[in-house]
Amino acid sequence: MSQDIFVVIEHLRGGVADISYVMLAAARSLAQGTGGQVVAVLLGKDAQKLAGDLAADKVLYGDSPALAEFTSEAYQIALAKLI
Amino acid sequence: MFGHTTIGADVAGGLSAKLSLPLVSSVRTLTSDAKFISQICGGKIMAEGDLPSPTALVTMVPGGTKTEEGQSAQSPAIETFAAPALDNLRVALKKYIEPEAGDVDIAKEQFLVSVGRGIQLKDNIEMAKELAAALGAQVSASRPIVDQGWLPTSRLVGKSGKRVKPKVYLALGISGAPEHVEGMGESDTIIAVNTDPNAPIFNVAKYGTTADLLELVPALIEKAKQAV
Repeated sequence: MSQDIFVVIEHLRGGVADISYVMLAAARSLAQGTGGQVVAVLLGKDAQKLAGDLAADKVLYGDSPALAEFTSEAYQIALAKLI
Repeated sequence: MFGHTTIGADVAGGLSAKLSLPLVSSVRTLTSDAKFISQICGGKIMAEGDLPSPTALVTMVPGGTKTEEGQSAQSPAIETFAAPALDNLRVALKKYIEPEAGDVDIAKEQFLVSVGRGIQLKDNIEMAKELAAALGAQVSASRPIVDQGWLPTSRLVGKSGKRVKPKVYLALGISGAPEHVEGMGESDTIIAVNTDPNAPIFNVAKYGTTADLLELVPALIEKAKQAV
């Protein structure tokens, strides 16, 4: 588990930011060495559909009305729980 | 792993402090043997190192891999986790501020009449606009003017706005903070009007005057109109 690479998916106003895909590709090359999985972490409200084209082994999706729009504080609380 | 973006750097920095985890920022490439290459000093230096183990936070800059490599035609499996209680948050989104669409691109203009805090009142913006029109220039601004909502964000010059390089930059009541100068310091000819003789704008200006812009601008408008 500790060898898995968690990629926090960045998205704004209904679209996944390009940097998210860049990270997934980079995570893939790192995971080849660690033997772990590439896990995309997606936070939002009714945002599962954004996971559709992510090149990840698994998507961890956290849903909350407080995650409907990005705030650093809400993201930090939600992510601290996963790490 | 986070994007080295406004969002990603904000979250990763906070988490690093909160959880006492190492944070490697501005990473461009990661290799299978857990080495990273990081862009530091604004990309002037490439730093290489080993990722700290067992858990490290990383912020990534684009360029090392292509976006297509991170996309897949096949949908990945989705596992839902219960988000913790997110009550009493101190920060909430109030609104998105859109850049004005269809406005002029001040970065392409050759003559800018730029206003700063010294303009004092919203109504005085009209004076600057009138002068710009008489001179065939466009109006731009420094941060305080845009923060007040007196001119749209598309007119902002500086670190967080546009980088401009006109032939003539007429700075009216702009003190010349480093963040502003970063966006206009390379203009061909900078003319500064500021009542404060110690304002740093005079360090980059070719011509300057400590005349009160509220008296000077109407006079300039008159002269400009006569010259046409």
